[in-house]
Amino acid sequence: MEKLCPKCAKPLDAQNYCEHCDLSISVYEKIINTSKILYNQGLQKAKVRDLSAAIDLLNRSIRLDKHNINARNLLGLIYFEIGETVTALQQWVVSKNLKPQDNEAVYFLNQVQDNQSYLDKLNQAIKKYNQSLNYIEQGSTDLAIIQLKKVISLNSKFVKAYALLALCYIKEKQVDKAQKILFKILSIDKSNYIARKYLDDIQSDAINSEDFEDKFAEDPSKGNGIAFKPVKMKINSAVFQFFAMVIGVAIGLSIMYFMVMPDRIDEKDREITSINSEVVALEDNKKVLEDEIAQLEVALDSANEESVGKDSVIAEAESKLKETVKVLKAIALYVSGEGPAAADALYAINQSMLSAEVLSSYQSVTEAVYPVIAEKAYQDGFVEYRADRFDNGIVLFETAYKYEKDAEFSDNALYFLARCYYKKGEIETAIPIFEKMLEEYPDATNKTDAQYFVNLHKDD
Amino acid sequence: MINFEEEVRKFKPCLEVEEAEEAIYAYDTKDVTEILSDMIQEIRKED
Repeated sequence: MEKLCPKCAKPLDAQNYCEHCDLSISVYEKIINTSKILYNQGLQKAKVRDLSAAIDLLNRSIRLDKHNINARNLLGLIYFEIGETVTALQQWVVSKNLKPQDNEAVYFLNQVQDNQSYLDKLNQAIKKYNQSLNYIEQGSTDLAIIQLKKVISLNSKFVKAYALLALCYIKEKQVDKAQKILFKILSIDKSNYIARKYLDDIQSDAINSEDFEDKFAEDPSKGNGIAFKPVKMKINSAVFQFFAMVIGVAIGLSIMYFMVMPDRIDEKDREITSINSEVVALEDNKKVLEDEIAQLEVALDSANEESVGKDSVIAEAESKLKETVKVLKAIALYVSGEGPAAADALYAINQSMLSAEVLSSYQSVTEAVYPVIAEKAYQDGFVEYRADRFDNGIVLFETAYKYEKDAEFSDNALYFLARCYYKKGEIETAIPIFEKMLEEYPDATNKTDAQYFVNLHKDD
Repeated sequence: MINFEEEVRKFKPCLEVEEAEEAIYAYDTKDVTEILSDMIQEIRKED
């Protein structure tokens, strides 16, 4: 009986070679068998929910033999399982075209296409996922998180959406929530690369911080050779206090910077160096101000002596003295690490009562204090906002905007201030703040959302 | 430490259902046996 080519069904020659396909049948059979082996391996992986590995094997299987319908249908089913709806449909349509009869892909396609509302729901999930990517690009991670939560409620197996949500939570330092999401991904696809990578990173970060704390807490008396031992130094106490104060301020500022902007450590190192030199400069300013006070006290004394008819001169000197003392106190607060109190003190000073020299010192201190306090307040406000503590958020965002109106985050400080009021139901307070933000920051990151809220309540 | 910006760049938009038809037409179904046949024909042409 004449042998036929399994690929094109034309007769083979004596060496089992198909002239039509230009292929030896033994080579063809090896390829087909390898495709089947890969399908079997993919099926095993799919059965134990190792979906990433199954996708890899099944893709290789259909690359070897595009007519391996079982492999293609299973690949579609797995894509559908992980929320890749269109990729799944693509595989099933190709499968149906290759084998129109007696093909499970036809059943799968009918199941999806006959349930239009379900398909719409899946499509909505995809659209919202794409929208959340846009939000992230615009810097609105909070809106992306809200959107991704909606995606998951529409399609509870959308692995990419879970992974993006976990990444957003990691960015927002909500590691517990991120971990829960990552475990959810692994319950759908147990070898998902992204979930494993993020979990490893989270866990290694946690272990590193614990190691550091453990080593630092070890009792030196146990003599294990690891503990940090205190070094005894004989230093003049006044000099020691001065250095301790300077180092304390530097460490305090560096920790604050580290908490606020963990991903800019290198940049902050440079800033810490400049702050150290600033502290030294402020010490110089302090001396200048002390001299100024001494001079003013002398002037006040002499004015008192000459006093008859010179009450106004004395009053002015007293006011100048008071304001100058306030500047000195603010500098002392700042140098001792009490940044927020220093900012409040500086804000309360009447600049018109300061001499040119003191005013210059005042300005250099505000330039050092205000941006730090404002940024810290903004970051803390954001944490409060995310935790639905809107009253705290309002105070912090107001502080951020009060001290910094030209910073990168100033528009967002106003935006989230308005959002806090909005979430509290105080719409009549929120809307003017949204409008103020749109007027003062026409290129604001969240201008579209602010405009949306303003339009929503236009006719109220 | 996870670099947010770097990781986000790896997330690409998903195809929406409206784009499915175009994606199906663009899908390359060529398998290894067809690639082998093409290669043999190329070699024969050169000979």
